[in-house]
Amino acid sequence: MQIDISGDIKRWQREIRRGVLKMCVLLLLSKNEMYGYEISKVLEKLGNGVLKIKEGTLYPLLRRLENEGYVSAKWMFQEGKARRYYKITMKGLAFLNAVKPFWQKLVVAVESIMRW
Amino acid sequence: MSSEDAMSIIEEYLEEVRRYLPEDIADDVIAELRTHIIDKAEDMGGLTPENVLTILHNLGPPRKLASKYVVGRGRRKFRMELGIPEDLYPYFTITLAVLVIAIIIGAISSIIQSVASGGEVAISILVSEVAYTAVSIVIVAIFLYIAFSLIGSSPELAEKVKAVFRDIMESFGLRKTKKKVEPKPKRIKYKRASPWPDAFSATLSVIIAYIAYRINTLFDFNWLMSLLIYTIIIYFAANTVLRVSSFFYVLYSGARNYIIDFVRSLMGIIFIPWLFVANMYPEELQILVPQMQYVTQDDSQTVIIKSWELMTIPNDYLLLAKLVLLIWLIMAVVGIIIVILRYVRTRPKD
Repeated sequence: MQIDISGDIKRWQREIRRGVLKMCVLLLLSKNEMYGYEISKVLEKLGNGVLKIKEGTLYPLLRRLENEGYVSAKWMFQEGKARRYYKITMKGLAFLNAVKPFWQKLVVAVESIMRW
Repeated sequence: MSSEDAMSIIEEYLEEVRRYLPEDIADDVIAELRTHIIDKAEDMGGLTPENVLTILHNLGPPRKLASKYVVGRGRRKFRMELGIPEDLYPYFTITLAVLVIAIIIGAISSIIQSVASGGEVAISILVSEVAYTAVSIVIVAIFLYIAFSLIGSSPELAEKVKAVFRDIMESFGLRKTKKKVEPKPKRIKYKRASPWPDAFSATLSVIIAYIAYRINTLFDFNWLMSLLIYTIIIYFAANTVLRVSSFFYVLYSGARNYIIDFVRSLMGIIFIPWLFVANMYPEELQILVPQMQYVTQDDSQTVIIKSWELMTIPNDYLLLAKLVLLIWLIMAVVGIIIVILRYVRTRPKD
């Protein structure tokens, strides 16, 4: 009998990615001010395909982060185009500093379990 | 195909997104999306309609995209609109189909039971079963439509409902997780709807209602036929009101209001009570018969209609009249089902 668990796997991947994306976006913004498309390109490139995010998801996520006070945004003109640049706020940095060690511990813990 | 074509596709798409966005963020969101689409198209090789359509396809249907901006803002700020979002539509269709099949099976089993017990099925039993089935289907469809509209107005709730449906379908083996094939970009057309068909139909309805009223005053119809004429007048008067409302809605928003269209499509149901009554009193059915006259003029003979006279249907033709009514009723039921299915299928998918 063939067991089809591809749906479960996809759901699990989606949930994990959703949780991690917030941290990744904040990490990128802690290095540089960036605009939406730039963030999506860097996520795709550095994320090795795993962190590829749909544009229809990224922009609402940025909007939520802005509403929650983790990032601030301002319009800037570049190459004749108006671009919305996002910048991490103090609250965002505090959040990042709190979750980063946890994430590192989590990765180490999962690795240990995998190697056990 | 030029970059102007590409820009006009972008603008039409963004206009649709704007319709569903809260006003306080709409300008920012639209400007940001516009720059994104242009940037990405340029990275893909240029601002061409093909590239733009691929990007818009990835962004998803305007309403769905807009709803993502609404999550977490609370329902108060959501632009409440009756109507089922595109992503919930398949589940609405499935639920409706399952319920319609259940109702039809119930009706058929009831008819079979009558045959088994009596050995003979009277036309009236058939008619009442068909009418009962039709009314049940319409009521179920309306309630389901309202329920799904309300679910659709809350993106969080819609996601939960979709997850439940997906689980049920997967457990029945109805939904397989397919290998993702990169879909071909669909040609998306966002055109403003024209209000003029509504204006035309409203005018025509007024004329028909007036003609029906005049006919009723010109001929001495019996109570059954008067009931039919009043039903016709009410039908076309209501159609006029809905068409006028639709005209102004389309003129203002550039899009059709699906609630008005849906209600208008289902209005034919008001003829079903009359069909019921007519089936009980078929001997009261009247028809208008033209009185012919031969006129000879310059060695040629022509036939003219001298007058119209009312005639009750002779007894010999009563069975035929009953059958005609039955066919009419079946057509009414089938028509309602077609209207629902057509509405479900033709609702624009972004």
